[in-house]
Amino acid sequence: MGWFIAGRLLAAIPVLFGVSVVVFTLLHFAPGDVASVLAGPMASEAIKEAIRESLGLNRPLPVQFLKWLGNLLHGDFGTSLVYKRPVAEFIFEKFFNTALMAVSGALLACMIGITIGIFAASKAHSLFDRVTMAVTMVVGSTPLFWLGLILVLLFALTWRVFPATGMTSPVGGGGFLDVVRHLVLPAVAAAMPSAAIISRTARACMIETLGQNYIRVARAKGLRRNLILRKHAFRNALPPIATVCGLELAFLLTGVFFVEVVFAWPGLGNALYYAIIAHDIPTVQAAVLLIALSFVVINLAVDVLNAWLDPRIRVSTARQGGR
Amino acid sequence: MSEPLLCVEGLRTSFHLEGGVLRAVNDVSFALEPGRVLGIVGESGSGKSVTALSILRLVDPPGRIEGGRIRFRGRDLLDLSEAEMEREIRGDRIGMIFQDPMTSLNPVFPVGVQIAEVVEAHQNATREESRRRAIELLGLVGIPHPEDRFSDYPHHFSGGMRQRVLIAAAIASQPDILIADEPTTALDVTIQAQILGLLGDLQRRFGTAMVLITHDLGVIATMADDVMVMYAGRAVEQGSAQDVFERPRHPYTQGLFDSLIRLDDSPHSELRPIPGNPPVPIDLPPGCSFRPRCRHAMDICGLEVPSLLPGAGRRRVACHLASAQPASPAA
Repeated sequence: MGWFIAGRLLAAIPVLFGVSVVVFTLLHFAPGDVASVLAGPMASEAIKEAIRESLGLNRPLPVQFLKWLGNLLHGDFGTSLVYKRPVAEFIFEKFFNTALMAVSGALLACMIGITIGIFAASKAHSLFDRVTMAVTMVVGSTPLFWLGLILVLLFALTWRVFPATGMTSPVGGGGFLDVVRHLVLPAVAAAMPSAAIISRTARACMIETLGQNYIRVARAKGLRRNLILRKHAFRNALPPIATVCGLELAFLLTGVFFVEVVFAWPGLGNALYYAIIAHDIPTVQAAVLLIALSFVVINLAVDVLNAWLDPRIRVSTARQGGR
Repeated sequence: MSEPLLCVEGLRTSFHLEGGVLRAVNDVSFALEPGRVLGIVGESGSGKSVTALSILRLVDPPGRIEGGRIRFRGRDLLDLSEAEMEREIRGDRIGMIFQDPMTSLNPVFPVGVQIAEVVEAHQNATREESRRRAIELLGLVGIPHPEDRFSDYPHHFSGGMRQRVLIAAAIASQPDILIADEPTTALDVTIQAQILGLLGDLQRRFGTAMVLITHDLGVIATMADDVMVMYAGRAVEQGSAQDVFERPRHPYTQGLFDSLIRLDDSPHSELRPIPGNPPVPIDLPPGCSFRPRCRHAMDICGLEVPSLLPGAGRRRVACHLASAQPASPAA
C-alpha cells in the first residue's frame, strides 16, 4: 500500500509541473497590460517601462517562469498587484473558506445521495424509486446559483430561518456556531445537485451489484436482507460511488464560486473574480494553482481509497513490498 | 418407504415477460426422503434450476411462484414470512450451492468470513466461535491449512477450491437438505470428480438429503437414489435411479440415454441426438410438449397433456404411450 501511494505521489509531480507551466503562460498571453493597469490611463511610457522593470516583466518568459516557480517552492506566491500584500497572506484564508463550503457540501451530498441511492436500488422500479429518480434528474440539472437564490428566497427572506449573507470570516468572528449558521444555506445549495448525481450513481451501482451471483448465495445462506444490502452489496458498489463522490468534491471546489457570489461568501471564487478584473496576475496564478493542486490531491485520495477498498489491489501491492 | 422430508406438490412458477407467460415450472410434484439423493435431470431451460430456487423462494421478479405446496417438516414453505424463511430455512435447514463458484463468493471479503457469517446468522454464536467453526468447516471440505486460509480472499482460490468453500458455507448449519444446482458444470473434469466425491462423503456422513440438479446422466448414475426427468417445465418421468436407468419409459428419457456416447460404441458410429430443440415454455401448444420431437407421437398427444401416472413402486411416467401399454419395454 505504501508503495502504491508513493508511486501515485511521484506521478503527481509532472502533473503539477505541467499545470504550473499552463497557468503561467496562459496568463502571460491573456489580453491586457499589467503595467498600463497599474500606472493608470494617463501614465507616460517611461513610467510603464519602470513598472515593467520593477516587476521583471521585460525579461524573457522562461526566466520569469523559473523565478516564479522558484519563489513558489519557497512558499512565495508573489505580491498582489492590487492589495500590495503578499498573495500567500490572504489566498489560503480564501481557499479555506471555499474548501469549507465545498467539503461540507460534498459531505452532505454523499450522505444524502448514497442513502437515497441505496434505498431506491433496494426498491428498484417501485413508485418510490421512479419518483426519486425523476426528482434527482431535475435537481441534478439545476444550476447552483439558481438553487442558491431559491434557498435565499425561502429560508432567508420568507421564513427567516437562516441568514443569507453577513459571513465575513469563518476564523475569528462569531465562533463555530455562527459559522455553521451561515454555512447551512450555501452548503445545502452546493450539495443538492451533487447529491442528485451521487444518488443516481449509487442506485445504478447497487442495482448492478444486487444482480451478482454472490448476492443470491448470500440470500441462500439466510442472511437478513438489511445485512446483504449493507455488507455484501454496498461494500462492492462502493468503489465507483467513491470515485463519483471525489469528482463531485472536485467539481464543488470551483462550482461553489457561483454559490459564493449568491451568498457573498468570502471565498476563493470572489477573490479570483476581482483579481481577474484587476489584472492581478499573481493572485490569479495562486488561485488557479491551488485549485489544480486540490484536484490532484482529491484524485490521489480517491485512487488510494479505491485501492484500499479492493482486496485484489491491496494484497498484490502488499506482496510487492510495503503495506 | 419412510416419511418424506420435503414434499413438493403441484408447484407452478412462472415468469411474466413482455412476450407472454413463461411457465418455467408447470405442475411439478416430488418427494425427498431423509438421507436420500434426488437427481433432477433435464436440458437447459427445462425448469430444473427454477424448481430448486422455488424451494428456497429465491425466484426473483418477474418470476413468481403461482401455485402448489412445498411441505417441509409439516409446514408449507409458501406460507412462511420472508423473515421466517431467512431465519429458519435458508442456510439453516436447507443449504444450497450453485453452478458458478467463480462468481458465487463475494470478492471483497475473506472466505472464512463468508462461512462464519452463516454460523453467526443461524447459531447464536460469538464471533470467535463462528470463526473456529468456519475453520473446522474449511478443513472438513478438504482445504489444506484451514487456519491460514481463513483470511484469504476468493481470488486466491481456484474454481474447485471455491466450490469447496461454498459447500462449507452451505453445510455450516448442518442442514437437513442440501440443494446442489449443477455444482460441477463450471469445473474441469478431474475437479468435478473430486467435488462429487466430497458431496457424496458429506451426504453419507451427516445423513443429509440432497437435491442434485444436473444435465449430466453420468453424475446422476454415480450419486442419485431417485431421479426426476424434466422437460419444458414438467416432470416427465420419476423413479428410483436404478429403475429409470435400466428401463427408461418416457421417449424423452429414452432419447437422453440413446444420445450418450458409450465406450463400447464402434469408433465410426454416428451420434444419436434427439431431433429438434426443446420448446421455450411460453404459450405452449396443447398436448404433450415433447410431441414435435417424439418418434412415437400419436393423435391424442396433440390434444391432452399426459398426466404423471403412477407405476410400480415409485415409478411415474407422463406419456400417453406408457398409459396405453403399461409394460412397454425400453427401446
